[in-house]
Amino acid sequence: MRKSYLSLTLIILLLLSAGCGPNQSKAARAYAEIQTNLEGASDIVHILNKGGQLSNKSALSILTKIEVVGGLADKFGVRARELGAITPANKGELLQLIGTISGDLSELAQDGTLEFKTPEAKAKFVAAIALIQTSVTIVASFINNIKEPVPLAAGTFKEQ
Amino acid sequence: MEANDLAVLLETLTVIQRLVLQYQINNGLTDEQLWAQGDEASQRRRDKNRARIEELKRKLAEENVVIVPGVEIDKGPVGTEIPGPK
Repeated sequence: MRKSYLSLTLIILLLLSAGCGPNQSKAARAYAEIQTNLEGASDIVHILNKGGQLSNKSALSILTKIEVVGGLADKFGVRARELGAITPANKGELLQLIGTISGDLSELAQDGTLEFKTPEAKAKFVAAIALIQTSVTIVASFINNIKEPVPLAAGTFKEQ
Repeated sequence: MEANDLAVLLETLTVIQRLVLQYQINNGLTDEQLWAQGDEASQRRRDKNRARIEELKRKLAEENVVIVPGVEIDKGPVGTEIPGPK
């Protein structure tokens, strides 16, 4: 029970902390959050598996899928920095990557074939995926609403 | 230490690590530092998951489950005859 409160408190703290600090772009922040939370979700899956709460087969399936999503997130980070700025002309490419990440995460969260031993274990996994989805949704909405070029990092802005 | 105790400890450490990383993200990192933090998290995840995936594949092979890329097939008990092409 105490563990559940700890996880719940973490999720509430993370959700409350949404927003940007001074001089932070939403894309850079979302990238850091997505990657950090993908690492966290992988750790949770590993812990559940080690604790006997998730079968080996399901753990392998999830970790393999997380690596696919992670590869897409890597691609987003590399491409965004190459572009230097998100513009109405190039935002479609980044939105497509983000859309695929979001779809893969939803698929993972709703996969009924995963073998969790308890409802609590499943809830922990779904919560870990939901954290990533939150960052993905924020950055998708941000990019979607771009009407003028938005530089991604100080000194790297180039007119497209 | 029992497996369950170890899992609780690992989970607590993971939660603390997440809080520290989130605190860093929330408090004054520049864009360059945020991109770098994302890259570092990605590298850590890939390194850890590579080892975990290998270990799980080895365990499943021991459990007699055949892994085909994208598909997993239960081979059945040892000695089960798998019909070949006719």
